[in-house]
Amino acid sequence: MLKFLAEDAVQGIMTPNQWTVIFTLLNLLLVYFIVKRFLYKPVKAMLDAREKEVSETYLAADQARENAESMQEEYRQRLAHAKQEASEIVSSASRKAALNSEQILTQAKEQASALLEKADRQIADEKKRAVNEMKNEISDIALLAAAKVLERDLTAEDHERLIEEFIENAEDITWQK
Amino acid sequence: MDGIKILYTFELPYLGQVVITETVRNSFIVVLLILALCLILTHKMEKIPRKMTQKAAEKLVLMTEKFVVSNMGSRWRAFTPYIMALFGSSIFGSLISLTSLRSVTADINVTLTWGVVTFIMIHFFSIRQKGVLGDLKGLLEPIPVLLPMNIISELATPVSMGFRHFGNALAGTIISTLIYQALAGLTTLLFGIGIPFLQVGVPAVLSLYFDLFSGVMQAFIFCLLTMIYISNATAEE
Repeated sequence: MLKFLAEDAVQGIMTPNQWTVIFTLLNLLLVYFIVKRFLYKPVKAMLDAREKEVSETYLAADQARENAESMQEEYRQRLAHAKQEASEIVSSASRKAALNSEQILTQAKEQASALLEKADRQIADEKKRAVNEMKNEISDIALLAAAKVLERDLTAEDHERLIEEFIENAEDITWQK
Repeated sequence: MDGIKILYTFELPYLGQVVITETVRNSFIVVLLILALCLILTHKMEKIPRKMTQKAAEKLVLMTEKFVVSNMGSRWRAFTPYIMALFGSSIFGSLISLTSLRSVTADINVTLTWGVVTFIMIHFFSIRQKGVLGDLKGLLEPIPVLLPMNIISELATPVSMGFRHFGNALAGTIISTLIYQALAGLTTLLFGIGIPFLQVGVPAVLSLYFDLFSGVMQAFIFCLLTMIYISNATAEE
């Protein structure tokens, strides 16, 4: 069935040949499907996948940035809150301290004044007692001196008079220890 | 300049005698070449392109898509594979002549078939959009008197496309053959020896223009015209 022709069997360059037309059509169709199936579609699928991935990456990046921004805002607020709290604590503490110190000062003052009063009272008592003791001693000495001077017994009236005189004189003297 | 060699023929029941010419064989080679190229370019593609082949494949697809969209608008994006197929068939069909095989595009049957495919597409898309009457109404524009002119112009579209491409490819082949023979004659004339050493190198430089440049150019023009005709026929008013 297959018939090989001699080497010089040719067809004119303008001769119509329906088989060449048919094969050309078939080949064009074949090339179309080859290009579509093996080049165009795989490359487009790859480009689409890449584009999708890129857009997804961008989306994820945007979300991450939004998250970060909201977190930053939150932390900023928290920090501001903490600062306010801290300053409140400090101010209330210093207020309390001032109050305390005032109280302590007044207490101390009261105590001091009480101590001073007590000391004053003691001093006055001591003084009184010393004066009384001195009076007794002086009266004894005076009696002794008088007895020595007079070498005689005195009447009770003389006694009294002499003692009074002495004490009167003695009171004018400034006592030194 | 030889004709197109008929390689073999065989009988098919009901269909008659099938004639396989050089052109048909070479166009099968082109199909295999394109298949191999597609497989190599898209072999083991990754999301992050590292290999040159993948970069080339992406560049190729994106460039063609941009070419299609800039000429036809973004709603014709799905037309890209056809343009790639047409461009590939045309360019490899022309450049196969660099391997001393006969150009596929130097056969009027091929280029005219492509032209007719474009013609059918123009009217298919036009009818799909405007209906049969809408498509035929285009023949009466701008004034009904021009109807015969318009009919001729419509029919001339595939013919002019087919002949332009065919003529260019054939001219390249003819000129290459002429140059070869002229160079052989020139060597004998100048040096009187039978070894045509001027045939080395000189035709390569010239075929750079006649085969490579005009092959790329014609493929480009053919695709561009296909896109422009279709997009004009389906332009939305």
